Amino acid sequence: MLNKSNDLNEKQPSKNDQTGVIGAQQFRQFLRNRNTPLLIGLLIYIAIIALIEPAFLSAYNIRNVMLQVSVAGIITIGMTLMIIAGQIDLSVGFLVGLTACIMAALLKAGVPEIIVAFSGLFICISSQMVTGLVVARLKLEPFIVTLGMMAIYRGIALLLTRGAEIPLDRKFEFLGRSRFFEIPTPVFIFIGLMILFAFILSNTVFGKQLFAVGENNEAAYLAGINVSKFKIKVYALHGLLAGIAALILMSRIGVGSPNMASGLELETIAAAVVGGAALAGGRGSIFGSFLGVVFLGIISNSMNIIGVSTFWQYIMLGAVVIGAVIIGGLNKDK
Amino acid sequence: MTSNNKILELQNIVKHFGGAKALDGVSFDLYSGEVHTICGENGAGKSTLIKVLSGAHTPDSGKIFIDGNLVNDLTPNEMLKAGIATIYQENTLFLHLSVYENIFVGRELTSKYGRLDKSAMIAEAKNIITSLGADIDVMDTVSTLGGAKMKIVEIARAVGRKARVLVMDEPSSSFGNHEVDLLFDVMHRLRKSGAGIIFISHHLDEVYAISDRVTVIRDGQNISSNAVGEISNKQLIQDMVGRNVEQVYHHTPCVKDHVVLELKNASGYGFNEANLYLKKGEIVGIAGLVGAGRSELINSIFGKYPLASGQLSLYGKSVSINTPETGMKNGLCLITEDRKIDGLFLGQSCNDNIYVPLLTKQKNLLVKSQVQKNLSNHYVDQLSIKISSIEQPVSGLSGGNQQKIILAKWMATNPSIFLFDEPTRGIDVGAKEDVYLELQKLIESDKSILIVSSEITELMGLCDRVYVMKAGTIVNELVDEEITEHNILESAL
Repeated sequence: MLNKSNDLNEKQPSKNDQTGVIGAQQFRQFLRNRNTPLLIGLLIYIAIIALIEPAFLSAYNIRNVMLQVSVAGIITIGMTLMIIAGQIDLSVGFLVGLTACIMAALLKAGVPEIIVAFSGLFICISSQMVTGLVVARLKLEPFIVTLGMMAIYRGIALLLTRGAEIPLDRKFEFLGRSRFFEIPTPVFIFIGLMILFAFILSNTVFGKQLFAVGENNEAAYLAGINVSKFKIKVYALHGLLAGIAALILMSRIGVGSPNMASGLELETIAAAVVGGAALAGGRGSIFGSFLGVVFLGIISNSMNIIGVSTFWQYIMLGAVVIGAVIIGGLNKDK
Repeated sequence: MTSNNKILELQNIVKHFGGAKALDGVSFDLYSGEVHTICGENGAGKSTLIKVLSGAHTPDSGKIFIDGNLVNDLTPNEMLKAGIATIYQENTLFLHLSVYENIFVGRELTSKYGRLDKSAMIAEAKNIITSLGADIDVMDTVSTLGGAKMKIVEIARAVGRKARVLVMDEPSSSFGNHEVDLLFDVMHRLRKSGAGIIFISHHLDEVYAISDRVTVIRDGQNISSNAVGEISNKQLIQDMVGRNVEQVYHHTPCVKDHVVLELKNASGYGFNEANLYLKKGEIVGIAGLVGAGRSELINSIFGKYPLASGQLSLYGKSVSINTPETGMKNGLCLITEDRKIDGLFLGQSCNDNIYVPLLTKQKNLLVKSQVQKNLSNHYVDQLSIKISSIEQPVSGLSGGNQQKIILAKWMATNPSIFLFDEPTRGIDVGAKEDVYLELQKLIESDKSILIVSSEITELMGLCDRVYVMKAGTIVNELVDEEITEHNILESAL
């Protein structure tokens, strides 16, 4: 059948002719791309800040920004998958906190680092799978279920630590504090995962199914996709990424604390949305989310550098999120 | 009933979208007490014309007169004030509110201090419903009503707003025959009261049943305008498609002696004790009113709902199909009734839509984009789907092309049995003919087809046999010459 379709392609020179003017065509496609306004906005912002304070573009500072966004960036990958599938997760910040606390407690008790690391991943994956199971099988709203889970994780973490931080005493430093060629390890992991998932989303059965399920749950089911099993798979992947983020964050800060990642759930949702993900599902991209999380990271970093108060940073962040959604909406209408 | 009182006139309406001319000088008029039907294929400009009338689109040039007065401000608000109300194909009611609340939505009556005057609204709503001759309790929640009654509530809302021109865009596309009569009664009453109705429908029998005049538009231009008695069915179709259509249906029987699908005493969600069989190369129809359990039956065969009891056999072997996934594995596919709700991934490209069912079939975890593109191009070509590129989102396609995309996505999985639920709903004559031709090709290649359809002529034109369902039960089986409108209706009602 496919050989035949190749023949058909040859019989249609008109379709190939259109791609003849490659330069213009690709430029037009670039302009129409959803990420283009965001990319342009980001570059303009960087240019303005660099004019005010050239140190912003120093190697030291760029490295610093990338390190700062790497944990949020890894979780943003998972959040992007969730949002494309029509899900949302409010619990991830406190799940990361809880996992870090448990891992810190295990380290303190003398458990070997490698076992601690795997138990951290296991906790995150299994907790998210439980959430996914509840959402998918009982057909409940993920917003409410994960809101509940958020409170539960927080409560467990506080019970476990009595509200105090658990220091690591210089154990488990490799992931968060090491460097290769002057670039921090977390940045490598972050970029590597971004590339991996960008590939998965556009080139695998899983990626195609993700968009199908998020766009139209019912049609996906009728096209033979086991929708609830698939959603649990998405939750599990999101959990795995949260686990990796928990390992890095704990290692970098050197403690486990219940609140160490609170607010990260909203930050990552915002990053994904700035990057073009639609909360209704079916739309989003890893590259967009990458731009989104980097943009949000650059805003707080740059404002620190040029000495703007933290309070203003919040306002700026909010404006960028809403502005991105407005521009995204304008683009969609075309 | 038509008076000499011209309430609406459109002169030389032109509307471009980018480079494309959607309306190229269309003129149209409507007298009080008249039902004036607009016919045309999808893409002929009907939707654009309706949107000009509702004020949603501003024409590039042309004039609109209401009661002989030129309308200068062509905005939705101004059109509503002038008494033009549009009733769209998809209903715009608030399903969880009651009938009277829906009728008064946006213009609620209030008594002193802004309190809602419920009793006044209920009384007024009752008046409107009675004046339309409908039997609807105004306290009922809209979601409990059938399709026709919902449409009538929409009409009541327009009447409540003193609309004198009602634009009805395919109001009956989801109705069974019985429901159509309810709607037509209401339309007759409206006509008597002096309102003008602009009616749009793909069902030509409906067009003949209700219209006074028929105007055909094609490629954004007026083609013909006749009193309904003065134009033959054949001429009308020819005007719409712009070529000579001898016969829309193409059916040469290809039935082999081999039973591929059999249901024995099967009961399930919405039907009971169903017995039916389907042979290789056969097209079998399932007729009946909306709600007779036809959709439920074929959805259950595909695995959307499990069978409660009874037996399903494929090729003589008993099988258990409880999910669409297993249905697909057993060589079935289902083209659903409402493509926008559970058929298409609207925001995605044609290319991605076509590939979705293959995702669960393929063993390889990777999707090769060139393979996918070749496959899409192959089917786009084979089904002559009109798109500029396979990367175009399906949301912008006409109904006919959307339906072909769905057909393509299932043909790509190479099933042996096709289950169709309303295969040609809301698509134009040209696209219908294409679909029928495809069906013929399918049976010629030894596929078998089960069709649920509310269009009796379609069943007559296509099927080797027809089962008639009534209230969840198969009440009759008709073969060859027995398949007539009379026989089907007699069993179904």
